[in-house]
Amino acid sequence: MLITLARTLFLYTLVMITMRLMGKRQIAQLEPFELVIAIMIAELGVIPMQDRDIPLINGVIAIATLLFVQVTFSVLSLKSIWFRSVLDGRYTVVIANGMIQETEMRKARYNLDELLEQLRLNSVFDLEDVEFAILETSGDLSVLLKSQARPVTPEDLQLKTEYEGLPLVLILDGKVMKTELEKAQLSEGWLRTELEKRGVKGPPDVLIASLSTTGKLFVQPKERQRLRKA
Amino acid sequence: MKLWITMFVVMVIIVVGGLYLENSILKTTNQISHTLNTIKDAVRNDQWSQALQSLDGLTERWSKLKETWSPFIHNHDLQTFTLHLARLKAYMETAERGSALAEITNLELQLIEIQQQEILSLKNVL
Repeated sequence: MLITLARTLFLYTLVMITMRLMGKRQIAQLEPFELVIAIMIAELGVIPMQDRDIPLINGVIAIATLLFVQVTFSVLSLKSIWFRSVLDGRYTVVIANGMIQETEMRKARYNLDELLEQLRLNSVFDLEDVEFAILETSGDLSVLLKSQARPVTPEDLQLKTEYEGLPLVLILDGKVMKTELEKAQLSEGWLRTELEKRGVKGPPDVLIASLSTTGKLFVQPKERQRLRKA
Repeated sequence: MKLWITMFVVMVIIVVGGLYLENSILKTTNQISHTLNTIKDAVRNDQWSQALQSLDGLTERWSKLKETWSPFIHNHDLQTFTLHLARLKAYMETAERGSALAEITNLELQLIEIQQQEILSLKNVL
């Protein structure tokens, strides 16, 4: 029993590390070959986990080999366009200049129902509004709307907008993010003063606090602090 | 690229380690096979004390080998060999020639099985 427990913990850790080393993409964003490797790695972890007769090293070697193959393919994909197109395939333009490309759709074995579904998922309900639609190698559909159907942007209205960068999270679940504070060139003392101004005792009572690029501090106290106040 | 280099080194270690293991298994199983032949000859000539002495040496060597090989070879194969060794000893202690010779054949076959399973061949790959 304990051996199975130990083997499971070991293989789980190994599979997690392998998946982490494979990269940050989510399952939905995986290319076909990456998906195959991810499934195989998970399966290879399970087999020696269940069967104690199989030496653990067999699973480890198989997982390491798949990781090596995946990393090698990724490196080759980065360096060669040809290899990338062989491995991932090429995108397909399914709507060009507002016209559905029947031949291309047939080649990609992509039917009209799938096209309409993916357009709806892109918040496009009228085919008339689409100028271009591209079926990506991951299976996602990228849509370029006709200029008349696109949402109005400040640029269209010739409005001037201010720069907006990424807000800095200064407190997360009661813990002060010192590196973020340093980035903003602010001190912990300043943060405490700001919290006191908002009636919060200190960082441990804060769920999240973030600082926007305009210098506006957003603070949400933890539920217990809010209940105490009420 | 750092990850690729690390993984490449890991793969080289696996390949070298695999070749070393394969070579070591072949060499050791051949030596065991030779010992089994000696035991077989002794059993055929009813030299039971000499046969038992050789078998004890082989059993001792096997118990050490089993520990070394268990992380790499299917445990079932190793256990089967251990079981046949124990049965051979029991037959030899009661001087049952026919059964002892049959067990030696079983051991030889099991040895060939272990050898063939670990060799990098097209048959094993497919």
